[in-house]
Amino acid sequence: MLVKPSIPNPVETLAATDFVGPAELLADLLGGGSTALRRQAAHNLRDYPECGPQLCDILAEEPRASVRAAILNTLIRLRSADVIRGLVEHLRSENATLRNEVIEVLQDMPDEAMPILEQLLTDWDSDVRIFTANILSETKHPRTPDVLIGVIKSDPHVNVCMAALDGLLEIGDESMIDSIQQLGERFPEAPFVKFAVSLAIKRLQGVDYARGTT
Amino acid sequence: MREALRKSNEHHVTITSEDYAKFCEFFYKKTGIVFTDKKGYFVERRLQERIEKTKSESFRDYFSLLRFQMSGDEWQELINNMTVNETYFLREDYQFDAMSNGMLPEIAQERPAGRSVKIWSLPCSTGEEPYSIAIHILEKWALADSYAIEICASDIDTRVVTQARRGVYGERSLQRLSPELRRKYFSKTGVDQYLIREELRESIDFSVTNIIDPLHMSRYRSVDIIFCRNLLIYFDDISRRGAVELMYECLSPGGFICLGHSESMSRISSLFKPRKFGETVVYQKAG
Repeated sequence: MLVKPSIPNPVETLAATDFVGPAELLADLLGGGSTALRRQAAHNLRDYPECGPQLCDILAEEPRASVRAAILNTLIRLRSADVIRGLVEHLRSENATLRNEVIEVLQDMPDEAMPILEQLLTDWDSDVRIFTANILSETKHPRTPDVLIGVIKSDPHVNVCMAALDGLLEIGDESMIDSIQQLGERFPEAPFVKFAVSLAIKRLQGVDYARGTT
Repeated sequence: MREALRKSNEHHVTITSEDYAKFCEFFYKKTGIVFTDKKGYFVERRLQERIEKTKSESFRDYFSLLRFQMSGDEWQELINNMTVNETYFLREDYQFDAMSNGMLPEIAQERPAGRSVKIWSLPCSTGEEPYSIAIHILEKWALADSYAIEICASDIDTRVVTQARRGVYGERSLQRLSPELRRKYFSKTGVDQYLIREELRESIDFSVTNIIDPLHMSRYRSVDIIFCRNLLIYFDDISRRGAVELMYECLSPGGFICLGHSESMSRISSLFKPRKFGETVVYQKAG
């Protein structure tokens, strides 16, 4: 049987809501309360940009995916340089789930992330540079193609270059063919590079590489 | 890229590219809706209409009115003019089959008879979807009388919510309803005018709700099934993620979200498990 639901109006809801400041919200998030309480605290922190770095730290400790999703959502809203710097630190984490979550949200804030991602391409850790190339490959930013070309021209690590080449396959054009050709020359001892370069060039020239026709 | 200036004619004020961009950004922040360049003409025409109607002397005047008017009436009027509300009864009804054959029986398995089952249509537009849900359940779910079926329906547009509450429809809206269903659930009140039965009108809660406003969304809890079809396509990735996150909070453990046929949860959130019922995929919150 159909029964009319009783839904409070927004004013009633607001009146019933206690004001909770950032310190209490962070305490809720860290205090081991219910998942729903932690998610709520993460949502409500969206009005406190100063909590961005702490939220980035909490992200690594939070065991529940739904709470991490709420934290990430708030971090996307805050999207400051501090937030991006806090997030990219997790690219060094051994936790693949966390790394993937961070990679995904960084792609959602291209303008804010780009300067920091460019710096990361000079990181000592080649894994971090590979993740950075992966992020850039899916980042909608006008500088992305040039930055990836810079990677295949100069990065000393073959796997970082291959990650950048993967990205260029999706977003590149014919003007990049010379730079891609040079990549093959930079790693003559790696046959897979030669293969990938030839595939990429065919693709950028509009050749259907499965059939060898345009 | 949009052209630099939109020239006024004798009635229109000038809206520069910067004005237009500023307006789109403001609208996006408040509603999550992104206007693509393809929609530029539509948006600008509606904007010009509102500027004229409010007798604003410039875009700047109108923009101030939008932002600072205490009552918020003009903001609501603008939303009503900018949103798309084309729908009809039993639209994409394979999802209603999935509801009555798959989702509701699963919910009933875990829930004693007599308890409530909550369903939410968001956005509900002029009401065709929530009324279709009610009709479909009454017609097709054998256990309909064993549970208290609560149907909520919300939209950001006040005008369509008012229309939905009135429950008056034209032939075009009823095109997919059989003569039998028309007889059973409507009375003809005029030429090309049908009024939906009072019991249905009285049993659905219609409200104005902004899906990206946490306060609005916090009024809904323990919902079993949300129909959120063809709304998220108007949002960008960030708003989509935010809206889904808020819907997640509204759902019961194990609750379902039904998206439109061209929409998918996979790029938005990993918190839901895709479930196939018949020919359709819906998304389930972990239990």
